[in-house]
Amino acid sequence: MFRAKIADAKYWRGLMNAISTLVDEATFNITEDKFSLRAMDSSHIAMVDFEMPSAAFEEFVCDTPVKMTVNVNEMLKLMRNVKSDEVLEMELREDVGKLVLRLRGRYVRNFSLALLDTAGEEPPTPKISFKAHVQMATDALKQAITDAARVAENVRFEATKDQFVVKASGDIGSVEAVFSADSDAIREISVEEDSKATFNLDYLEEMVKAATGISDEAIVEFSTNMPLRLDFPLTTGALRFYLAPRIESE
Amino acid sequence: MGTNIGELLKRETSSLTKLSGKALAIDALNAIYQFLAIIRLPNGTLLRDRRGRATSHLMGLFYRTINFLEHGIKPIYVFDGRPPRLKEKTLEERRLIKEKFSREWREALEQGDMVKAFKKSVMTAHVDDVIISESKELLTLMGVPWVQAPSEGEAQAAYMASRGDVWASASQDYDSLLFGAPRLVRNLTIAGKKYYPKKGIVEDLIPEVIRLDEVLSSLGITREQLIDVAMLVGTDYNEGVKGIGPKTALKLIKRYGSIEEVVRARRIELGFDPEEVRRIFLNPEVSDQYELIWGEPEYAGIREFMLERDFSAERVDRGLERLRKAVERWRSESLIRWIS
Repeated sequence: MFRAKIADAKYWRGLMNAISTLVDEATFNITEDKFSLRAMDSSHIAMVDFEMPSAAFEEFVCDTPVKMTVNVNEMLKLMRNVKSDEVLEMELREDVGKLVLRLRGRYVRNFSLALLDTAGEEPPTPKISFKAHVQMATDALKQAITDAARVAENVRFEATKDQFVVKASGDIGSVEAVFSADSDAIREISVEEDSKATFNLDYLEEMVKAATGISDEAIVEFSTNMPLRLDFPLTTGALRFYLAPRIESE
Repeated sequence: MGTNIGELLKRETSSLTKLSGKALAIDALNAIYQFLAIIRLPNGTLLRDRRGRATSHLMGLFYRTINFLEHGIKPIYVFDGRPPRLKEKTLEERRLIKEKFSREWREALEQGDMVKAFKKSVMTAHVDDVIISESKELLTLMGVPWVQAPSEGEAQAAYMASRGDVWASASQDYDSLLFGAPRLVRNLTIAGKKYYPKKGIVEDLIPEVIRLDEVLSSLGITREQLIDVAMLVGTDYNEGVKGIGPKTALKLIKRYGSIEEVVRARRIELGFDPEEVRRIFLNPEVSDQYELIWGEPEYAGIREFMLERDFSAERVDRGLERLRKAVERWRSESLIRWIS
């Protein structure tokens, strides 16, 4: 049995929206103490790693661990008009093959969502030792990514001891965002080794856009030609993305 | 076309998303016929440029291929070569059918019956050398590999799939299973819809995968026996036996073991030599002279090629933008490298 209550339904929708940037059919792992998901997109270029401990919920009841697969895009469709002051209650009804969503606001709205068959195992997280760590404001990161997307399909991340540079160039021109250690947007830069890698902007833009409303702060971690980790710390819980680097031919 | 054994074959539903990351050998002529059949104006006229050249196939090929690439599918188009001698009769019949439908289409147009005209027109799709060479040219510009089969395209696709160079053969016809493809993907090249001219209805089509080993184990026969079943029903290389449908054919082959034994036991007159047809399926003419490389598209070249054929610049540019994004995604490594 699984049942949970979240105080801010809109926040929950934001989290589901972040997951939906990579997966359609999402398999959630629910145990006594947490609600989590780890999945790759179908091209195996990116991964989302999401975890909310039971303490993040108003109410959380799970007597036996269970896997729940739903189509997140369908869930988002149902939740399109949720308000921040609506409370979301979820109840897993395996007997009828549904996840029941109840929104309590000025009145009660009941939705139900079909459960899908769970296929495949949860992937492990990539093993990488990150040489560059940048803790920064999410909106500044978003601005740098959006700017880059105006001129190119991919973006280069470069980190030196006291500077993080996001740059892109294409046929029409080039864009560069320079974050020095003492700039307003930066909380902390720590670089063990100069690092640079190139990433796909399509993925990056969607991830950062989706995370903007959820977390004010982003932790960007990478190493030369290794996958990127984007960590968006939640008040209670974690939302992390991994993104494989672009193959550099030169 | 092909062989009518579909109802016997166990299949699973799939989707473009589920096929992500997989290389598929697409029956090019089969796809081009579908584009020419369906991409038409309401009165059944093909899309043409100002000089009168047909462009329906280019429209289909361009957008559908982009759609595959966006889903991470790696398409390889396989073109038919010289047909086996035994296919001549089938080809002649198809030509006559097309002539008949062309006549009926003209009549319907004269009567001003547009619904009927469209129904008739889809049966008149005709592929010529220009259509084939233009299709190859567009694919080359798009950086998408294509393979020229020495003979049957489906045999070539099956060969590539059995060697593991591609994950599956993709066609509406079932022949590639008879040619030994371990997997066949159907409903891939039509954009989610199928038009049934006889009934005048449109139905949603969902990609499906048919696995040869599952077909054989569910039917309890060997591939050679499946070929025998198909021969009884009729293939492109032989006429079937009158009155024998797929279910009866399966029952007979399971009971007697082979088509030769069925013929002997039931005193059936075959109008063909089963050994000759069997040889086409078991030892088809194929080539290993192919390279599967997805190159960088020539964006300016594609644009020029399409605009020269009166495609709207705005729409082509939108397509090219999608292509650019799709190809760029391919340039990323896979996370799997860091997981395992």
